[in-house]
Amino acid sequence: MSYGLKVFNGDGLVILDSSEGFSTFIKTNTGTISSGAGTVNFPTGIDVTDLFFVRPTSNIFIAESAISGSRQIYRSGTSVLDWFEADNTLGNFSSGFDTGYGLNVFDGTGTAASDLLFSSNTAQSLDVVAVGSYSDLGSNTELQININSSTPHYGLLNGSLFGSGTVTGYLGGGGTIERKRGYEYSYSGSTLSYIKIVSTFAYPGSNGFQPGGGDMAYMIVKLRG
Amino acid sequence: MPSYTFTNASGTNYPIAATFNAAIGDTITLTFPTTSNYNHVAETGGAPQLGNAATPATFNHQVVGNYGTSYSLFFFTSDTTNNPSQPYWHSDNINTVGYRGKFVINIISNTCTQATPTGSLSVSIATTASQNTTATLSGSSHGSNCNAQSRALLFGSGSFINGLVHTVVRGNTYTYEVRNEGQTGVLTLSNQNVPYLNPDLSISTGGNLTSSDGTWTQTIGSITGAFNEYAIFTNTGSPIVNNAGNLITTGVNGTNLINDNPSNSPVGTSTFTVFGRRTTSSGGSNNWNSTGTSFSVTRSTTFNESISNPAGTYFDNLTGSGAAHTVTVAGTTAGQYYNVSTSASNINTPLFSSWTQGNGARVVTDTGATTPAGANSTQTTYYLYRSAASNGGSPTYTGDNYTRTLVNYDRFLTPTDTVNLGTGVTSYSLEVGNTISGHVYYVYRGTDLLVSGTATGTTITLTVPETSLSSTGDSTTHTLKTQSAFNSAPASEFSTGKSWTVQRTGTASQGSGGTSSTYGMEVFKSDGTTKLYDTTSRTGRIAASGSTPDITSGSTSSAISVSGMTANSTNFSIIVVPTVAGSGNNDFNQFAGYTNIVITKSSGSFTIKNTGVTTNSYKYFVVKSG
Repeated sequence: MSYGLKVFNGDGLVILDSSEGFSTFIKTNTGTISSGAGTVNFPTGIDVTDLFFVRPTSNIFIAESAISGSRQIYRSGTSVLDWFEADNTLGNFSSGFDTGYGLNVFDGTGTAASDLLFSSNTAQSLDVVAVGSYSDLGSNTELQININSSTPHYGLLNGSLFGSGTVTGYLGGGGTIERKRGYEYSYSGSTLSYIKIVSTFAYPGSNGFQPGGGDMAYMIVKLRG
Repeated sequence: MPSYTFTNASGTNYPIAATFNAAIGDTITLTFPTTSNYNHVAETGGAPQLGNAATPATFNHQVVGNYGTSYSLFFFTSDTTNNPSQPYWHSDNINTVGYRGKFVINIISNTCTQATPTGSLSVSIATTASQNTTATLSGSSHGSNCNAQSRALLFGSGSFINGLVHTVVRGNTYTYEVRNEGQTGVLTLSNQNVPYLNPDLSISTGGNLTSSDGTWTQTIGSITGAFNEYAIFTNTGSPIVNNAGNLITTGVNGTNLINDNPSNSPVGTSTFTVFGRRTTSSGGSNNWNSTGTSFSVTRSTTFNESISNPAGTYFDNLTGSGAAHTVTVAGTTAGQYYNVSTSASNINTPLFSSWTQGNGARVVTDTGATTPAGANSTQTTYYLYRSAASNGGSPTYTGDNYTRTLVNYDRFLTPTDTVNLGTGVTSYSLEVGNTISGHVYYVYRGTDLLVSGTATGTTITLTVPETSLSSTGDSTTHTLKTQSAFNSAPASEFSTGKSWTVQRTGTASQGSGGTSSTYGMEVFKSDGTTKLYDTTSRTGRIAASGSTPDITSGSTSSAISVSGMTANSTNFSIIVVPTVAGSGNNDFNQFAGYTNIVITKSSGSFTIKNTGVTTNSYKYFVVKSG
């Protein structure tokens, strides 16, 4: 880049690079789903294709429930769900970015909100703690990410999946079929001990859970600020 | 053995050429050199035994016979050149003018017959300046042909030697015996001590001394001779030692007694006595003997106490109430006892376990101290007291005080989240906050010390090695310990109670949060304390987003462009959501659209393959996180 700003973190990964023209994602909407168990609808105004992160406050498994046409949020036990929607800074931080002190990085086409790649004036930031694809688990059915923090950590619901039902006419009779791809939270008091990335598939004759695979991404982010 | 050289004419009637007194068996040698008067010589008369020979000739004769008798050997000479046709004994050749002679041999005895020497023995010892010296015996009389032999018996052991002189060792008592060689009778001189050489004990000093700090030098004078050494003792004979713990001496042939140990001269007047000795190697006994000369040292009452570490921060490691720290006292006065109080006006509560003497470090237990919470600190001033009594009676504030700041291990800021190590990463940068300058910080994994460093400010950054995590998901705990020179155990580190988890998270395509670094960007909220971004941040930037058109079952989308993407890039994560959910019941199609979506990354783009049983379209986000 001839001009601009490029910032690396302690591991040498890019935090911010004005030359790539990519906009940092930020929290654009947030809310809470009251305590309950099983499936629950997406919050009003949220579409299943929006970039959607969820955090249970109890030790449960969460994923998108997608079975037989239903598009809901699945929780394996009773818990409140905190959620937020994420999106580009560019075009989604229209108010307050240009007041007070701080750092704004634009895409070089102007200084309007629609040109904004990064701003320090957001109330909070999203810090990627773990990211990969479910297929990275290989022959494993889970990957434990130790957290040991009371800072809120959210799992990316998009791409996760939970569905369980029965099949017939399979292997001479059929039985239960279950796909599970999502986040299993474990707390110790107010401290989040770890999150397990789970990817399993069970079907008649599978002799238990098989690795679920899947090229779609999982992601855990920490909400700072 | 006797011998004789025949040199002169002695007439024709065998006059006596020589007389020998010899013992039976002695050999007598007779030599006849070359001469113009004759060229041959022959023994004759009686029963000749030695024969004849041309000159020069030598005859050896061994004496035979009985003691007290005599006999002669007769020789005549001849000159065979007179008539070579005749033998030497022919009258033509016999030197009738007379070169003849006889040798008379008196057989006498050489045996000492005196059984015991006579006389009265005495011994004299040489004044040699060494441990060994010479003893010379005298006073014995020995008969004719008697050889004197003697020995010096030490502890009953000793061998006879010829003569009367012996090498003896000072400090020992000998018995001397003298005899005639070959005889058994002895003269005895019993229990004779070989004395040491004495040091010069008649000396003087430079007189009485005064000292303000207890150190001083005394000079010895009026010394006669060499090899003298002097030292100081109390008047009861106890040695006076220097700071090195050695007796204070002048050294051999020295004159100065140097006292560098103030405790030898407490406040007031002390009296010392000079002792002298002569070393063993110079013939002395090496034992100290009083010279009878004393001197006194008067030390004035000046105090110079100080605190070597007048300020410092410590942690309390006591299990009970109160808090304990270390203080180092210097410049103390011998004979004085010391303790510490929290008050400058009284020492009603001494903080040392007892009133103690001397310089050095002491543990101070402040039973009234309470460890403050969190990052708070409590500073206390302590006062040093002095007393001449071991129980602290009549204490006096020395005027020396110091401060100690008590802090809590809870003050430290360490990672609150798991430290994640990506693939191949074998260390991370640890920043510890709220550190104390000069304190040492240690990071342990169990009992294994990983790294340590000394803080120079309110933070310290340590590069912590971690190579024990080989597989994804492996984790371990790191613990922070710290060491303060002002703690009650200043040489040991103690756990702060702060620990954190370190985890191996990285596989080929996984990511993790960043590790801290000394350089980088930090962004705070408007409150000035809450960090939104720092060197551990890992942001997500949306590199692409959108929707695909409908993709029939088993088909693959067109390439979707993403700037900078590569086939194996782990920095790009692709989020795909089918717009059509599964359908049907009781078969695999109930998950249709969600299962086994195949996403293929390539250079600058990616594709989505619909492996479901129905046509579907997909919403996608591409997030770049590195």
